[in-house]
Amino acid sequence: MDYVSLDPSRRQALRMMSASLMGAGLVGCADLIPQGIGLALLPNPLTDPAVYNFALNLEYLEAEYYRRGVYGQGLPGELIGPNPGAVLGGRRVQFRTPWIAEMFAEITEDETNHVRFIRQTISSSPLIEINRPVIDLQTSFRVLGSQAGLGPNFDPFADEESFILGAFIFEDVGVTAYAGGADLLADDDSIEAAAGILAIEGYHAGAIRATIAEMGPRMIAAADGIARARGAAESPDNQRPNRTTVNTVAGPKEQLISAGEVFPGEVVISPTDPQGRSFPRPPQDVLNIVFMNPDKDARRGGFFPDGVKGVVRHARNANHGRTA
Amino acid sequence: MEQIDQDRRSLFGFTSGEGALVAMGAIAASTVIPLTEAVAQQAESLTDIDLFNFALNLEYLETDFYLRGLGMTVDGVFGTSFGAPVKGGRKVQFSSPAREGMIKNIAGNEVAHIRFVRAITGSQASQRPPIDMDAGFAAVAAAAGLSDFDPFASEMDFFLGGMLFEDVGVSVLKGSARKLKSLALRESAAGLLGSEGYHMGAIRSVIYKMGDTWRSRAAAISEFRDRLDGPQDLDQPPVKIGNMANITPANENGIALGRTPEHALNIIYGNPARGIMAGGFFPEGFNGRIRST
Repeated sequence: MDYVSLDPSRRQALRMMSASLMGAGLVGCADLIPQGIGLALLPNPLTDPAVYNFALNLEYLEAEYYRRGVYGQGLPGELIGPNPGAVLGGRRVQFRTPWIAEMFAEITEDETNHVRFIRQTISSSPLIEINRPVIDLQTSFRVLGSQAGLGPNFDPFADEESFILGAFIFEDVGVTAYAGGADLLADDDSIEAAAGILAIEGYHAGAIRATIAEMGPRMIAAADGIARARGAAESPDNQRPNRTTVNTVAGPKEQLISAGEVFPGEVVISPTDPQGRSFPRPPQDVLNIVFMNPDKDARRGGFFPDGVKGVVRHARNANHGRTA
Repeated sequence: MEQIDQDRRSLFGFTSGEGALVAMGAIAASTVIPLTEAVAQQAESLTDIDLFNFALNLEYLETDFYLRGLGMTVDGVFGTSFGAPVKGGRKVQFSSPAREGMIKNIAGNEVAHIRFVRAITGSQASQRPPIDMDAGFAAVAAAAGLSDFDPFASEMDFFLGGMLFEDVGVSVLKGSARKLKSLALRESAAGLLGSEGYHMGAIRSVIYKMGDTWRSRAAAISEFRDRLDGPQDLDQPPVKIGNMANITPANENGIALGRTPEHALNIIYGNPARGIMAGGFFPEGFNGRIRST
């Protein structure tokens, strides 16, 4: 099976393909630091910092969402770059349940630390865009709420329950984005750090799913609506067999909390493929979701009305050669 | 807020190469983790298959733990035996359908993990070594100062038992990410890591929600693990710190703590010494090339 026999040349092939896809839009490629032994002479835009730059957009989104909900204000000036994009919407949530407020305070700190860590890690690398992108926490949720069956005025900052549902939108996507980035990174330290961020996003997502599950059928139905809307935002072209599955059967891209598949009565706190793995989502799938647009040519929309920062920014161009 | 940040920072420091990443301001050189000579020899020639076989031993333990709590067994679910017998465990009387449903989901994931890791390791898959849950949990109860701890006695005790194993699973998968050579296997390991993280997020959030009694029992287990796995602080309990929960065992970068396989074995064997080959849940040790602390 290919998942055992893949060798370093596969990485080279993947990264060369990425380079050819994205190179056209770049200048100054010769200044890039080549990554990986087999790539010494290849100017490659999909460097580790570029992959982290992509992740930084998602971390900005999460951190701004949680900070505004928990503290009523966004990231501090020193963490958003010299020319940050605006953030639309968001306000302090009135939490009724102390342990839930404490859980969100912790998640807020983790996400803030992710922003700080990634910024420090990539700030001096070439072709990095460190500024916060423009983020929409208002219209985006209304549109998504309509698609999810939550009505046209969904406001995740309205109360505790709504804030949990808003968090549910992001955290599963964060996990799958880091899982999908695992084989794009070259340096051992950056791989280990990404694995550690992935784990923390998993803890967050599991905690959010469990919290929803314990709140009863209404919350579960609302979350399932969100999961369906999220799945609908992915390009149909991306609903393809996962290349590393044993049985090559395509797993569902989204698992509803109410729809376990192995044992009757399952409550899905861990959405996985048939191998029990968190789904890897390649960057283009992630972009389709946060742009809330399944179009392969999508460049902006949804949570990022002006698009995302960095080399990996268009749904089409983010394709790094992963085909069925 | 700032004060709390500082507290948390002083409690939990950098791990492995993050300091290097940040200090250099760029992703570049890797740092070398110092190892003793004995461990270095074990680690030196490790293949990806060796690392997945190590994970497979852990999966055998976790899967039978969850299935037994639901009144099933690994051998029963697969209709075959993967090796030596497993001793102990019994059906848990769940009081909440939601929590029983979470355990069913976790058990289903773990069944898939066994199937998947056995497919990856193929003809080299480690057979299941003898597993003794009675002896393992009795040793944990004694060492953690929880004399009444029986993970099959109640729903919440069962959640504690799950936490005992799976935080370890997350940390060792995180620590192993850099060691895998195959790209596809890295992605697979990341997927396994993600799902174990989901499990622990769910379980630790429920423990946290249940308040001081269960938080302090979980803290005893966290301290037990930390006493066994070397001088570094590699564990965090799901307790309140300042105005924050501590559901995620993260350092000041928001990054999960990592363990070496050797440190994970210290916990599973219930012995902090080096060169230990068996004990605790595994009376004859792990099968495969990674079996010594």
